[in-house]
Amino acid sequence: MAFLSLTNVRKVFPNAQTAAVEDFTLDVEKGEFVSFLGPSGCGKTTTLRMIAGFETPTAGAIVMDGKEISNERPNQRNIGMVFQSYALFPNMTVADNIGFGLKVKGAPKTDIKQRVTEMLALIKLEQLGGRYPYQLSGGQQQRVALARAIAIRPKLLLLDEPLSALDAKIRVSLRNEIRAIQRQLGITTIYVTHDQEEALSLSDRVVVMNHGVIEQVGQPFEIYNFPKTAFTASFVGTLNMHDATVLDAAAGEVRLAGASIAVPSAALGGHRAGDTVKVALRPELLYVHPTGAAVENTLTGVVENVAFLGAVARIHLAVGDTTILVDEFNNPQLSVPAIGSTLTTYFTPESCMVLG
Amino acid sequence: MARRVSWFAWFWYVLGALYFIIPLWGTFVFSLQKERGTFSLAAYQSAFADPKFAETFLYSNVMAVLTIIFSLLLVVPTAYWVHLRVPRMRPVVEFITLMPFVIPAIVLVFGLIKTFSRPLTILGVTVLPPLTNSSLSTDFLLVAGYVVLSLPYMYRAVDNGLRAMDVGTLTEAAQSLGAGWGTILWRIILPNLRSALLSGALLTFAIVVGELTIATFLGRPAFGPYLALIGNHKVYEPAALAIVSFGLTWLAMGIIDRVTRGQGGTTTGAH
Amino acid sequence: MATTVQNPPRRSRLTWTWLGLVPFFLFAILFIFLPSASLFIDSFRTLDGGFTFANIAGLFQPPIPESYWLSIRVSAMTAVGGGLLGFFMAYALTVGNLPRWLRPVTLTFAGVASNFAGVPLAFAFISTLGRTGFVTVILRDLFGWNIYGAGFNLYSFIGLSVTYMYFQFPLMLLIMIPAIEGLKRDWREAAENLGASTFQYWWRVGLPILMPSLLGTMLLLFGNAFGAYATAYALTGGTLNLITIQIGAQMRGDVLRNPNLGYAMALGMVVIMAVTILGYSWLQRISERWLK
Ligand SMILES: Nc1ncnc2c1ncn2[C@@H]1O[C@H](COP(=O)(O)OP(=O)(O)OP(=O)(O)O)[C@@H](O)[C@H]1O
Ligand SMILES: [Mg+2]
Repeated sequence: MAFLSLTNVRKVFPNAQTAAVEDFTLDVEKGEFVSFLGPSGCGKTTTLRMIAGFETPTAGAIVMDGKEISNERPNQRNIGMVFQSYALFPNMTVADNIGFGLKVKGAPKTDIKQRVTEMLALIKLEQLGGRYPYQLSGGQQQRVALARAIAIRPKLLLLDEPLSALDAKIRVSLRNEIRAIQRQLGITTIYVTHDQEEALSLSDRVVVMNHGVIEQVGQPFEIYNFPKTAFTASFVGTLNMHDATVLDAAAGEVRLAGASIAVPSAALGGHRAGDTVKVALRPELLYVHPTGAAVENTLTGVVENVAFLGAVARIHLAVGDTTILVDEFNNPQLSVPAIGSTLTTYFTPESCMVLG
Repeated sequence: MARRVSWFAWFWYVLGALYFIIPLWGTFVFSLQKERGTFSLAAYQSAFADPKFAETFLYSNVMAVLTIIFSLLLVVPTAYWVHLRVPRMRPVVEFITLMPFVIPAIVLVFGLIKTFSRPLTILGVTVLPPLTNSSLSTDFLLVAGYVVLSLPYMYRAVDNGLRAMDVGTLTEAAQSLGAGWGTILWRIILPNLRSALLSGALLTFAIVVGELTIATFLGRPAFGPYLALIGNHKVYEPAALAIVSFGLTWLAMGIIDRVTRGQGGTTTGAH
Repeated sequence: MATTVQNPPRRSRLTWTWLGLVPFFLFAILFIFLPSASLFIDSFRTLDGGFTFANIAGLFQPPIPESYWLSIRVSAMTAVGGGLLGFFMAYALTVGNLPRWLRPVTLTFAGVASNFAGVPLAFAFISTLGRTGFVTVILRDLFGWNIYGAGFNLYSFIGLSVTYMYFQFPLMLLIMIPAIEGLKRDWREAAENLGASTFQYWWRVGLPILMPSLLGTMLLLFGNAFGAYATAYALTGGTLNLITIQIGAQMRGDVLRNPNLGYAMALGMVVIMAVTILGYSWLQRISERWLK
C-alpha cells in the first residue's frame, strides 16, 4: 500500500464548465519526491490543495497512511505546505513563525525552542531567528517558510511553486537545498512546478499534467526519453516533431521532409503504409558529423539560423518546407556553420520517437 | 475554516444597522408629528416658510461654491505640480493639507480671528487691513477657513485622480504634440480628473453647507448657525431640517459613490 | 530639482519650478501657520507682552483640567466603543459570510453617516432620545421604561457619547473593511495547515496583523471626537464642560479674564491632537509594512 494514494480524484469548481482535475490517480511511496509538472491552469495547485484539505474533491478518494482523509479538516491532516507567496506571518519573528505550528498544538515552550533552533540550523539561518519577515530577502523568506512547514514533523510536505518568485541563480541553489533537506529527513514530498528543468533535476518521479488530467507518470529519465504522448514530448525539453508518412511499417520506414528515414520498426506496429504518424527527435540527438552507427539517417538542408546558447549551438536547418533543429555541442575549436550553407545531419533510427 | 453564516456576524451587523436606522427613523416620525394626533408635513412647511431659512441656506450655498472654486484653484495646480516637477515636496504638501486634523475648526477660527481682526503687519509695515471689519472681507475670511477645512479631502481626491492617470506620461505626450501648459491643464488633466474633482467638491459641499463653528464665531448669517438657533426655539422643525440635511448628505455621497465607483475613493471626514 | 532628465537644471528653471508652489504655501502660511503661530506665541505671553509660563500653568487650574478630562473621556469612550462596533461590523461584512447585497448598501450608509455630524446630528438624537424623543416615548409608553428616570440623559456625558458614536463607528467600518480584506488568504491557510483552529488563527495571526490599523484608526476616531464642537454645542447648548465648549465660551466673551489663557487652552488642544495624529501615522506605517 502506497503511503499516499489518490484514486479517481475529480474536482469541478462551482459554476465551472469543465473539471479542473479529472480522474487523477496516483500512488506516492514513503520518502518519495514527486513533482507535478504542467502548463499554467492545468490543475496542479488544485490537486495540491485537495491533498492539503483546502479544496474538497468532487469525487474520488485520498488516502494517506492507510486513512481516508478527504473529509478531514486541513488543520487535522498534519501536512506541511509551502506557499508560492511564502505566507509568512508578518507580525511574528522568524523564530515565532517556525514555532507557530507547535505552539498552536500546545507543545511545551522548551520543546518549541529546541525545535526552532534545530530548524534554523537546518536552513542555515541561525543568526536571523529574531528578525521579522520584511527584514529578509526572498530566498531567506522561502527557507523560513520551508522550516515552518517541516517544524511540525508533517507526514507529507507540499510545495506549490516555491521558487517561482526568486531569480534564477538562487532558484538553482535553493532547489538543491530543498532536495538535500528532504533526503536528510526522508519526508514524502510533492512539489508543484511549471519549470521542467526543476522537475527533472529534483524528482524521483514526475507527474506531467495537462488540462486537469495526468499525461504521464515516470522517472525524469523516462519522461524525457520515452514520452508516451505528444504533449509530454513537446512540453518536456525541446523537440523536433513532424508529420511523417509510413512507407513500410514492417521495415520501419517512413518519409520525413522528403527523405526516407528508418525508425524502430516496433514503433510502427499497428500502422500501415500511407498512414500519417508523428516523428519526434531531440535536437541533441542529431549530429552534424557522422556518428558511425550501422544505419544512419540523413537529412540535408540549408542553414537558416544559428542560435548560440552557450553549451550548445542550435542550428535551424531548412529541409524542404520543414525546419529541423540540430544541437551541436559547443567546441571552440570548431566554427559554427555559416547561414546559407548546406548541411547534412545524421541520426540513428533509435533516436526517432514515433507518437500517435 | 468552514464558511458558514454565524450568529456572531449577524449580531454585530444587526446592532450596527439598528444604530444607523433608529435615529433616522425616530427623527423622521418625530418630524411628522407637529400636528397632534396625526402625521403631517406641517413641520417641513413651517421650516421652509421661514424666510431666514432660504436666506441662510442660499448664503451657505454661495459660500460652499466659492470654497470649492478657491479650493480647486489652489489644490489642482499644486497637486499637479507636485506630481510632475517637485515630487520631493510631496510629504510637505501632504503634511500641510492634513493640518485640519491637528488644528480643529474651533482652534482655527480662534486663530483666524486673533490674526485678522487687527491690521496684519510684517516688520512694522501694514500689509493687510483688518478683515473682520466689513461683511465682505469677513466672508473672505470664512471662505479661507473653509478652504483650509476642505484641504485634506480635496487634496486626497485630486492626488488619487492624478495617481490613477499617469500624469507624467500624459504631459510629455501632450508636450511632444506641441501643447502649452494651459492647454495641457485644461484639455488633458482636468477632463481626466473629472470624477476626482467632483467627489472632492461634493465632499467639501457636504462639510461646508451645515458648518457651524467657523460661521458662528465669524458672525456670518450661515445655515449652520441658523439651524442651531432654530433648535433653541422650535421642537419639530429641527427634526424636519435634520431629515432634509441627511437627504442632502446622502445625495452628495451617492453621487460620489457613482462617479468614483471602483476607484477606491474614500468618503470620510472628520468633525 | 532635476526631475526633467533631458535639461540640465539651470538656475532660472529651478526658480520657476519652485514658483509653482508659491500660491499654496502663501495660503498655508496666511491661513494656517500664522493663526496657529500667533496662538502659540501668545500662550507664552503676559498681558503686557512679557514672556511667561503662567498661562501654561493656568491650564492646570480648575476648571480647565476638568474640561480636558471630560473631552478626553468622551473621545476615548466613543473611539473605543465606535471602534469596536465598527470593527465587528466590518468583520461581519467581510468574513462573516453575510448576504452579498448587504455590503454596498451598508457602505453607502456608512459613508453618509460618517459625514453626518454637527447640528443636524444633534437634532436627530434630540428627536430620538430627547425627553420627548421617539424612542424615549416608545420605551416609556410601550415598555413602561423611563430611561430618564433610569439615569439616562441625552445632554450629558453618556448622551453625547451615544451621539458621537453615530459618526464614529461608520468611519471605523469604512477604514477597517479594506484592512480586513488586506489579510491574505495564504496566511489563513498557512495557519490552518500548521494546525491552527479558526479561533487560533484570529487570535495569533489575524488580529495581531490588524492591530496597528485597529489602534491607529481608534486614535483617528479619538481626534475626530476631541476636536468636535458643533455637535456638542447644538446638543447641550454649551452646558457640557468640554474643552471645545470652553474655548468657544472664551471666544464669545472673555470668561477667563485672560485671553492668553484662552490661547494656551487652544494650544493644549493642538498638542493633544498632534500626539494623536503622530501615533496614528506611526501605527499606519507599521500596518502598511505588514500588509504591503
Ligand atoms: N477557486 C476556483 N474557482 C473556480 N475555478 C478555479 C478555482 N481555482 C482554480 N480554478 C480553475 O481550475 C483550473 C486549474 O487551476 P490551478 O490553479 O490548479 O492551475 P495550476 O496548474 O496551479 O496553474 P498555475 O501554474 O498557473 O499555478 C484553472 O482553469 C482555474 O481557472
Ligand atoms: Mg498553481
